[in-house]
Amino acid sequence: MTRNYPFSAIVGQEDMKLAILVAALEPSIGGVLVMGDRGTGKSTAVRGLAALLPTMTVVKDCAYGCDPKAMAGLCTICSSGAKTKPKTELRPVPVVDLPLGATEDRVLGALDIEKALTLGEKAFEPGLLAKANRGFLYIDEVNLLDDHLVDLLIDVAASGQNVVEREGLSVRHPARFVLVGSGNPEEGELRPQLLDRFGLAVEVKTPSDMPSRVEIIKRRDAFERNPEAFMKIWDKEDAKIREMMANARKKLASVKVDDKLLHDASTLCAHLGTDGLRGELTLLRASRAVAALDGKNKVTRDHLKRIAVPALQHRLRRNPLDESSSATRVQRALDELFA
Amino acid sequence: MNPYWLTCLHVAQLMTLVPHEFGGVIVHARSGPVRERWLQTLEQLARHHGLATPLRKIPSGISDENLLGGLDIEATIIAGKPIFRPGLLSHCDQSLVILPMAERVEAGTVARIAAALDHGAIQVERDGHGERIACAMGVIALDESIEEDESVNPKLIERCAFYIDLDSIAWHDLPDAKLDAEFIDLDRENIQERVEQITLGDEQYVALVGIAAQLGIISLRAVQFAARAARYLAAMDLEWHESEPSKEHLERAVTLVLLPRATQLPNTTDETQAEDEPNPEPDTEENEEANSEETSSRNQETEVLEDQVLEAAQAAIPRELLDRLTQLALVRQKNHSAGKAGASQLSHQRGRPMGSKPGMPSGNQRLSLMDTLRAAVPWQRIRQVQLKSSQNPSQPKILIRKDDLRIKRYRQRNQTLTTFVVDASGSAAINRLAEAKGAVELLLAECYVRRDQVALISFRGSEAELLLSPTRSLVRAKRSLASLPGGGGTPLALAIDTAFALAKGSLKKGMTPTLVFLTDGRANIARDGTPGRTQAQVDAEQSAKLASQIKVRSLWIDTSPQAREEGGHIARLIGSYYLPLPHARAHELSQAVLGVLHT
Repeated sequence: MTRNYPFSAIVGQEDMKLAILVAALEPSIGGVLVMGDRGTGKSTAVRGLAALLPTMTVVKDCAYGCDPKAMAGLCTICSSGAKTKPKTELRPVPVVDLPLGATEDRVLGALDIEKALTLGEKAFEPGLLAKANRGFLYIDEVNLLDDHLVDLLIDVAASGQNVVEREGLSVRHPARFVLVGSGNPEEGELRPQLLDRFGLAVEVKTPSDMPSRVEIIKRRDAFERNPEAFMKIWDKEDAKIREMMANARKKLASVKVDDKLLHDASTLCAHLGTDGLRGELTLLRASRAVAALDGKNKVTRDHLKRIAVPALQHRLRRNPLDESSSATRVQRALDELFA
Repeated sequence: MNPYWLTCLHVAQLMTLVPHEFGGVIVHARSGPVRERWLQTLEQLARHHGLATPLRKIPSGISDENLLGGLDIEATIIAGKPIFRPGLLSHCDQSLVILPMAERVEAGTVARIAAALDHGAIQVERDGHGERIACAMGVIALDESIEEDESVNPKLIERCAFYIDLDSIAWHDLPDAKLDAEFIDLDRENIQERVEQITLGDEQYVALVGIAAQLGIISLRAVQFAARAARYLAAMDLEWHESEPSKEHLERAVTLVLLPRATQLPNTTDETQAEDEPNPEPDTEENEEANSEETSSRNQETEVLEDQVLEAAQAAIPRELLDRLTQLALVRQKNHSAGKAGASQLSHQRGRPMGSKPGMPSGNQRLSLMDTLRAAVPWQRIRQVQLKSSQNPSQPKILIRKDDLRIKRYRQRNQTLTTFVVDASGSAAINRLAEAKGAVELLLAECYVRRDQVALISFRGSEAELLLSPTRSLVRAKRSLASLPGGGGTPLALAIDTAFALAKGSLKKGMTPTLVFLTDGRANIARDGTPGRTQAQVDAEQSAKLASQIKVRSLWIDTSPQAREEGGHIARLIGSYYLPLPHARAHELSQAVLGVLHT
């Protein structure tokens, strides 16, 4: 297993880092899509996220990592009540990779070939979606993903359930995961149905100022030469982020949104003409998460402004007469409305 | 002897010494004796360093099953238990692989190789088998592209530290083979030990970043490769006992890694770009040129170092080659053309089979036998048990059920490519261009649903230029549309030739091309670029007659204020659908195109 470059050691890219943390803090936002050119460190940041996540309590040996405290959304075994007082264990929150070239059976789960052939038994072997339950599913090169896998994912992500039916094998299991994707828009657009599944979208660019560029190269080199020593230095920084996340998690439920802010959010979405309520809802949830990360009890306009671009830029209707990018249009609206 | 050969040998040395550290090398060369000789030397070096030889090859149209692995049906049935056959990438750990015809490798395959290069491993999740397999390798990408619109996928170029061009070396310029042998005398283990002791000094990092900025290189991966190359070159230099690379090592690293990626050469800034663009780069967002005005981290000394290194580095590459590479890199950076990868990825007649999906074979859906068997295999024993209990006397060898049937999947059976051929001549151009841009974007938005591709050719003065090679990416389209220059004469013949050449190419790829001409049809520049209405009209008619033999749907939108004879005449010759739209708006244009497309 190669060591992942520490999240805290990433130079700049504040928008991307904030969006990733917000998506990790508040799963209901629906994940984050990181788009950008080659060599901007997109997947580095996403892979660095794993080290920032807490552990979770799960029912011991459950293939789906069911939450022993949950009343709903459990797998058939955990909800059958067979285990009245189940044993529990701690597991790290899963960050599961969906690699290119994965076959459908591995994604959804399928008949356990080994058992079927050697014992003649019909057993279900859970797939990547089962592994990702209560965690994150990461798709690198999301725009190169096979269309029909995209369809399956959209389906499961919407229902939080995975259903496999074949020849008397019938399985239904919880599959609630936060979708994290990265890709290069130059290589093809993402289908709007899939784009819509992502709560936040950020665009990353390679920093162009000399000091940042020098700093990035130096850190990268240091990490390569001696990953252990490098990790030691940055572990402290990562720990700070972990702590900030833990505090934010406690705080999140009590963060208040007042009417003025609700009004701000609606005004902004109306001004930009984003479709439906999803944008507005995401914007509010994301603003609350930003406030919680800040350790504040109340969402301010500033919180909203910090996350508005990632929350809305992929929901704008294309305007052929406006050459500027979606991000620019959101930023412009912010400047006009909330100067 | 051509000194550039030495540069190519250095690349072979570094690639075989630590294949994975440098990702790979793009070897631009036609197949021939020079390339043969370089590959031979590479192979000898590889053997010397204990890599597996002969070097494996990844064929350009390789299937996922052969690349990543899959269930071995035969072995599984015989053994009565699942047997997974690993793919080619599982055998590439700690070695070099050759990628022949690299410019034709499918985008999907490139992405899989790129992932292996990034992580030194691949995560295989196929046919009931999940495994992480070590795959620290280096790629020798043989780039045989000749046409301008061919190139290796940028994703791969980005991850290959080196780029060499062997076409620039003539066979008679090669030194005696004895010289190559001198390069095969390296002690790998010793170098590995030494390299750990070497780090770049602060000012050396700054110099490399500064040089990259001077050369207009945006990606930082390249700078990282250069730093790494400098360290290894210092480690290979047994005369050298310092902990920092020397200036010469830096120079060589710049020669090997940075110069071939240059999009501009120092002291020639802006000459390449500002030829006749009336509105230079309106979009500052896209203009990510590293700002070399910053002095905060650079002092006089570093700048001197930078300039010295850069100047010396340039001496190792023939000037004309350097100019050509710069042009190439600039084009790539400008329109980010994903080579032909984007297009070939969508061809349904060749290339990577797109896999299969459950379903019943029917008229246009062919059974995928292997995939069907693969789906059936796990169930064999269970079904046999069921059959035995149902007292069926005749037992087939393999039990196939309807659920197993898999049909072949292709990308969109009729990928259409809509090419706009826009007249950018004269003063009225600006309006027309704005509308054409709008139409292209509206059509691209349609692509979501229809999965079409769009391309754009503009013609003015004495040339017709492919501004946007076939793409489905709105981002790219927007980028190339942003700076569409206007003004000049109307070289109609050239425009027709260029458009039909592109259409012909896409026909070959199994696509359905449609051409949309937006012009007033008043040719006044002949095919050879000379002005003159009469000859220009004759040439245009001739082009039109030739074009009429290519079976391509086309739409001729006459943009002149009053419909004129010339345009309609040419359109008839081609066999185009003629549509006079003097004041067409973007929306009408796209509607007109869609109307023609759907008939």
